[in-house]
Amino acid sequence: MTALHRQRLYIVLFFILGICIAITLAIVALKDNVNHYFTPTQITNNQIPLNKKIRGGGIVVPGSIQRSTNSLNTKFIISDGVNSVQVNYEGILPDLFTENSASVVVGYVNTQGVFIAKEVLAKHDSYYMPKEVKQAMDKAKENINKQINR
Amino acid sequence: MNFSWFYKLGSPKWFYSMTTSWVKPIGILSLALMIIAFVWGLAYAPADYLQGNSYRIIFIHVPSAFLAESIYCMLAVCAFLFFIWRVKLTDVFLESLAPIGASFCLLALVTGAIWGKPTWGTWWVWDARLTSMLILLFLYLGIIAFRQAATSRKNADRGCAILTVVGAINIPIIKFSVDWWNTLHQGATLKITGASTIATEMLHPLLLSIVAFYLFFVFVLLLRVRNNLLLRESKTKWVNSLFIPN
Amino acid sequence: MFFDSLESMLNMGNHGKYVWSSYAITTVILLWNFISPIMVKHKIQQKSAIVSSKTIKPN
Repeated sequence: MTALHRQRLYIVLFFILGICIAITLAIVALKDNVNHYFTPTQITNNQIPLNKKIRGGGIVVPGSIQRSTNSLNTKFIISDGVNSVQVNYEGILPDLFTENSASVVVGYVNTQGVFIAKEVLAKHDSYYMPKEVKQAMDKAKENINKQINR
Repeated sequence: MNFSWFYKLGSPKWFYSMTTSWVKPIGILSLALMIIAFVWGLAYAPADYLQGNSYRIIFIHVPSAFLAESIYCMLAVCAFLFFIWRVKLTDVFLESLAPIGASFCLLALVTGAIWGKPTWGTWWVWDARLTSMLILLFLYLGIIAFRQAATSRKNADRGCAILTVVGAINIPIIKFSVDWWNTLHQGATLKITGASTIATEMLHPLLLSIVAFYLFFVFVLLLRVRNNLLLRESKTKWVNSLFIPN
Repeated sequence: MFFDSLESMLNMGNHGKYVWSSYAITTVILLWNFISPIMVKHKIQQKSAIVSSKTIKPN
């Protein structure tokens, strides 16, 4: 490598290093703003900005979905396995919204700690399989649970 | 150290003649594989237990997203090589790769948005994965615009190269965004180490589609690079010898 | 075939418009990627044919 090549290499490395530092600082400064949503633990511990529209995300607790019979109001609980948050939502729910799957809610936390959601999104995991495979998997899990509980 | 072999690799004339017989076969093969992959994915693969038939967008969304990132990595490598060693061929590649990469990045974003509506319930969110992919598109467009707007050839080449290399920091951010932060976009399904979390009846057409897309990319890249070589080297003997009528 | 009829394949269980529009947009972008360099190639060949014919002087 000639001296000229080495000089150019240093210029490039300098720029790359500079940008890496700049971006790391930017990400650290943004911190929670880079996260798309707050976890129920963060919401319960009040680690959220007050009086601002925020997003919360968690697994919809099985059995917690209460749909109103005469309005579009739905109540459910989201959890991250450690803490849970009660959510009140008025509106149409996405197709994939169901218990035991993840959901992201957009709205405000009121003074009673209830999340008043203006928008509900469904989150899905990275698993893809046909119906039959899923049913076989669920059955296998059921059998294992039965064996453990014996 | 003797790097003359390296410089030979960068010879436009050598590259042009070496690729001449490959272009058509690669094109035909990629078209065939793509048709098979699309038919397979649309009509023969089973529906997903959760997403139903909307998941079939995976057969175009994943390959185009992979390509958008891979092409940028190639751009960054070429830019790095060009900036330091000024190999002519790497600059030709830079010019040819950018529009292709931009189009696949746009495709990934659009198909992702269309897929998001019936599954997540929204066309777009500003989470880390989607935002960093959009930044990738802006980088691509920036590189293309930079090349066209710069006054002299010299400035275009070098400024572009630096922008490209520096933008490469976005690639690991895109890849790890779903792991580092809470995002609406789910984590990786395809894994290099360990089992992929997708049933084989769906995995196989997906892999075929990825191969087809990459072959197609090589095909259109060769078309563009060869054009650019002819244009840049138009005053040379070897180019003119290609067109003298018998 | 996963689908029983052409109708069900077009409908895709209510997701038809999403899936088919995605594939349509894909086809457009793939076609653009192919046609764009082909058109440039034709232009080069036309220009070079003109240039070559200019330099060949009949006796």
